[in-house]
This record gives sequence, structure tokens and C-alpha cells, in this order.
Amino acid sequence: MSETLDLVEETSFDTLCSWLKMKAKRDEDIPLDLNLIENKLVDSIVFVEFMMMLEELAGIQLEVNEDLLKKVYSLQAIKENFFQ
Amino acid sequence: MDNFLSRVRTLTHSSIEKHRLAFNRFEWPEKIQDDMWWHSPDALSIATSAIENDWSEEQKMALAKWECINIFSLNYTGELELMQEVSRIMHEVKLGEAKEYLHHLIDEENQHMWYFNKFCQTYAGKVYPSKKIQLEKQKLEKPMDHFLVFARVLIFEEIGHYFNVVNARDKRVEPFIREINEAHYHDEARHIAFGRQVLEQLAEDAIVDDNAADFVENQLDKSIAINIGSIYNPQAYRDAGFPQGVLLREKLLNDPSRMFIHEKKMLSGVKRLLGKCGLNVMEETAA
Repeated sequence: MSETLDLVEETSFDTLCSWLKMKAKRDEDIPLDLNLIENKLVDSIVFVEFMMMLEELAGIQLEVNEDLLKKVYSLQAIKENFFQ
Repeated sequence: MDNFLSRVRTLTHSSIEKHRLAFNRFEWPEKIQDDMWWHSPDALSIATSAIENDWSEEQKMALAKWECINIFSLNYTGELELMQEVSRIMHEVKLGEAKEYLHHLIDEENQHMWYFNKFCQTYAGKVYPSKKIQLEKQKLEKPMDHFLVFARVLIFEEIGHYFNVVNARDKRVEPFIREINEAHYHDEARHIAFGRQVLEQLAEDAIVDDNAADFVENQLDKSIAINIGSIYNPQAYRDAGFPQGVLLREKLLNDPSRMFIHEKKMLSGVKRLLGKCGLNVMEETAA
């Protein structure tokens, strides 16, 4: 059961990574520890879409504020906060 | 400045004369039935799009409920942001005695926030949270900062006005929801008239050269994209029974008929006004 759940969550997380890679027009995978905001992979417009995608894939509803930024600043942070 | 002050005096007088306290204005029904139109079918985010005909009336009615909650949630969260931003600059902005109108604006927006929040919580049990955040924080000169605050307010209000007008006029819409849209429409018409006057007044000190114009155009294009994008809420699509909300949103945002509505029905007034200030926005979508 646990393995199945992990597989499902990994797939959703991978979908999110691929979506961001496409939005950021990157050829290579985005390093998990890269700060997405400081490195300008997301601006204010992409950030909104990114949060909508995260909500859909993780099955949650997010309120955007400074605390949320600490949870979504990198793909690693997102994985730890929303896909485990 | 004299013409400007005279027009704002008229608006101030109108705000005082027509003031109706929202807190005891409405008769709140206990429940609003799901088989009513909560939002005009003409105001749905799928209206006129290539996929509209794929939806049954029952599906459209389900979407109407959640798009009503989305638009009312946007009114609530957007007016909160408006009040914070206008309060931040209201004692510094160079508007002479016209600044007095800002007190009426904040007063009326506060009451709108109250009824939109109450509506969403009472009849849907939630408000959709805002996804907006300013990631690129810049230190701006005051004239530029003040111009951008009022320009963003105007963009937000003109888009909201479109929904007020369509819903208030449509007799298919549930009567209480029509009444709220109509009440909001009357107050917002004054705010929009004020916002248009203010922007023309502030433009000269803010748009000092081509670089300033480029910067403002870029900022306002982003603001337009975020405000238009927020009409298409994937969570509302999911609540209405369509699980792939993000995909549907992307389809609709790129639908030519929807893009026409954004530019010609929602934002033509903003575009014309900004043009008078020497600014060209939405050039990419217009091409």
C-alpha cells in the first residue's frame, strides 16, 4: 500500500517538475535545491499558475503569503512539504 | 486641476447622497438553491469559447455557482488589497483636496468586502484564497508608485464591473445575487470614474520619459495577465465537477473568443485611458 502511494505521489511530483521545466523553457532538469524565485524561474505570473498546478496535483488548497514562500522556494521544499 | 477637483467634488457629493449602509441593506436568504443561476451563463468563463457547446445546461449551472463564488472571492481579496494599498499612500499622493474622496472609497470598499465575504462563507462555506503575490519587490519613486497603485486598482475594478453589469442585467440570475451585483455596480461606477480622473492627474509626474513608460507598461501588462487569469480558477472547475481544472484554464485563456472578451469587453476602458496617458498595454494580445 505504502509503495503504491509513494509511486502515485512521485508521479504527481514529476508532473509538476516537468510542467515547470516547460514553463521556464529549460532543456535540462531543474535542480531540486535551486531557489526558484531568486533565480527567476518563476515571476509573479508563472507563480500563480505554479501554485494552481501544485494545488491540483497535491489535492490541496493554498493561501499565498510569506509563510507559503518558505514552503515552495525550491522543488525539494515542495516535495518535502506537499508530496511526502 | 480645477476640472479634476470639480469632478471629484461631484463624486464625493454622490457618495454621500447615495450612501446606503451595506450592513443592513440586504435581506439575506437562508439558502440559495443549486438549480438557480448564481452567475449569468453569459458571464461564465466558458461563454463564447470553442468548448461552450460541449457543456450541458446542468453542467453550466454547476459551474455558475462556483464561478459566482470565485468572482465574489476575487472581489473580497482584491478589495482587501486595494484598501491596504490606497491606505498606504493616501496621505502622500498629490491629489490636493481630492484626497478626501479616498475616505469614501475605502469606506465603500470595506462594506463590499463584508458582504462578499459573508456571501461566500454563508452559501458556499469558503472564500477562494488569492494567489497573487509581489515577488519582484522594487523601490519606486513616489509618483511612479502612486500611479501604479491607482492603475492596478482601475484594472481590478473595470474587470469586476464587467461581471456586475452582465449579472445585474440578466433576469435568469437568482434575484438576491442580482441585487448584490447591482449594488456593487453603482458604487464601483463612481470608483471607476474617480480612478480614471486620478490616473490622468498622476500621469505627468510618473511617466517622465520612455524608460518610465516601458516600465509601467510592463508592470501593468503583468497586472492585467494576473487579474484576467484569476477569472479562470481551476479549483472552481474542480468544485463544479471538472477534475482537470488547470488544463481547462489554459485552453480557455488561449481561446480567441475569450481573448476578444478580455480586450474589448473587460478592458477597453482601461486601455483607452492608459493610451491617453501615453501608455500602450495588451499589445501582444491585440496583434
